Amino acid sequence: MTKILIEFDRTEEAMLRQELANLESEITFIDTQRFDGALVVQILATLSTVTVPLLAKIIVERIRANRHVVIKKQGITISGLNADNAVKVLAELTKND
Amino acid sequence: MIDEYLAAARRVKPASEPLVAHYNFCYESLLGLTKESASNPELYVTYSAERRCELITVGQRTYLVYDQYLGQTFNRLNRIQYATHGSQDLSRALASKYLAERLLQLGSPVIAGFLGMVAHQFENNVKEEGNPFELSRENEATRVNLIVAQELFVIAHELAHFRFSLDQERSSEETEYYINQFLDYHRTLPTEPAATRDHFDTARYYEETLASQQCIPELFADDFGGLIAFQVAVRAFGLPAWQAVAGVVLAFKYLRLFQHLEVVAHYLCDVATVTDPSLFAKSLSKLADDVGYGAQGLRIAQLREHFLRYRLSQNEETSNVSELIGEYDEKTEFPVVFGLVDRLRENLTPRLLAGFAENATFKQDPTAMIDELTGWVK
Repeated sequence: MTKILIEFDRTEEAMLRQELANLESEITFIDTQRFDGALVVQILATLSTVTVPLLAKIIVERIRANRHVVIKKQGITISGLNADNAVKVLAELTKND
Repeated sequence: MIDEYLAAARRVKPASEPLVAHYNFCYESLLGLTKESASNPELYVTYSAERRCELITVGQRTYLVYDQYLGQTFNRLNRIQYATHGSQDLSRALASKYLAERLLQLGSPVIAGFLGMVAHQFENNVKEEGNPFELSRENEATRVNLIVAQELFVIAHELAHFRFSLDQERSSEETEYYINQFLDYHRTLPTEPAATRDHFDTARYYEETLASQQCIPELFADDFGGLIAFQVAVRAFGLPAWQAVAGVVLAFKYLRLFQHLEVVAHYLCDVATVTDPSLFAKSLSKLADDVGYGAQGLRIAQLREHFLRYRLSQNEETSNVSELIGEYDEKTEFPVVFGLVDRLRENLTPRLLAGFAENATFKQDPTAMIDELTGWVK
């Protein structure tokens, strides 16, 4: 199963925990304290038919609200992510492992 | 879970087993100098293009992730300090390679590929004049000692952050006590009138910096991390004191250089999407103007470096240390921080990038070509 990393602004953490409460076994919250002090919350997510729709919804909402969202797979940031292609991007990432 | 996280978050390769044993020994020795705690982080060694040592908490477990590639890059910088010729170009080559690898991770393969090629050219130009890395036996021994102290400091710095989080109030008080000593030292230095004024100004400069920024956690991590790294380097590894101090201070400066390159990489990532030539040129000029660390960033970096050196000087601050640090500025920091961006501004255009993107090998597999140019595939 494909695993990806999704990075959000740290201020979103409480809300994200609430929104993702039903996906506990597919989602892990990661807390990092980095040398550059960036305040982000990272989520390690397993992509599946169950997780993709909810993750896509959360990502699209954040992008539309101009909030920080970054998706990484195997250390490479997915470029060109926007509200219109987020679902397609996640679907592609699920396929190409 | 930590390995799954790193596999998603970073470009990783397996770490070298003999070195993992060495890092475990380093970590156990450092832990031996701190208070016992059942919650101490577990050391996890990786090898990743991120070159990052950090504390990561997954569920209830905290890991101190050490990146072997960071140490390898430090080692390259150490070799450059003792290179027989071409140190400045070798430094620019390393910085270009760093940018290429980071830009690939940031999702900008075209400019990553271009910088990979630049790195290759810088290095080839130097190697045309012979192998720059034929070090004397004495310099080779110093280089080996420096990397021991440097890797100890990087691990110790993160461990110190963990200690700080356990008792923030007491750690802050302790740091403030030593900071006041440091400021007093600057206030009361030489008696010669001009120098006195300069030193008083330095103290005020640092007082203002401290007032404007919350930097106590970093100062604590530098101080505590620097001191325990020094002690392990001398006691467990038998390093001469001056080499342990030089290693710690150089490690701090190398990390600061990487922070600068991170800023440049993110900036170039945005610039790479600009297709209008005059807007592109303006963006690169802005990068050149902003370069350095920004006024406030520079102040904090100076404060942290001078505080670290002041605290370590209780052990040893000889002319050897100052000389090596001065040479590093000349051979690496200035050519990279002030020289590389200027060269990019003079030479890089949207047309050049568009041309590079049409290269047949690049088009076929951009990642493979960049990895070949940067040596990541080896």
